[in-house]
Amino acid sequence: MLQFGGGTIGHPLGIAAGATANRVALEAMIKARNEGRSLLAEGPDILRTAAKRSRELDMALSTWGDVTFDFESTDTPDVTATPVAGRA
Amino acid sequence: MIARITQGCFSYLPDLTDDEIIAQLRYALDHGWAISVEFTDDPHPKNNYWDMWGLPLFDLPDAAGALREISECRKAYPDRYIRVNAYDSRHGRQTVAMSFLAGRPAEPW
Repeated sequence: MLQFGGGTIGHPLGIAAGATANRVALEAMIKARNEGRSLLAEGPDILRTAAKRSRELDMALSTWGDVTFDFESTDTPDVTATPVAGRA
Repeated sequence: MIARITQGCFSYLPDLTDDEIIAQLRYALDHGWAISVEFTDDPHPKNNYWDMWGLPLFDLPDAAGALREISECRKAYPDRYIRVNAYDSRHGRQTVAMSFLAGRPAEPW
């Protein structure tokens, strides 16, 4: 599943450029995967190489390239204990 | 200047070299997909039916052989767009699993 949102709309060159950057990035990754390269190990390198031939992707990477998605799941019930009379 | 045609996979990347095409063909063949080569003088997205370069290579497990067909097609039609389809014939899928341009007119029109 691919999620393209703020990175498309918020592209410095406009939405069309954001869409192009997405497409270039996706195709570069698919091509590398089919060639047997490891996306996990080489992913950032593959994108940076592709960006050399695409101004749109290059700008996207310089804007968001260092963003990580390394956070804990937010899909948890936010249980807060409700004070009830008679309980500690 | 006419905008660069973008169709199928990899069309936003620089044109694939023959070595890169071979790698993709190998990926398709490893998955049991049959290669076919098509060409057209009308690359508009509305035109889904391109002319076939011979029959699909259903029984050809050899990527180099498929590339040879592409080269032959390029030689015969240097002024056309050429695409490669990889058809997945497995029951339940039976569709083109991958399709990409493997040749553009020497002089874009």
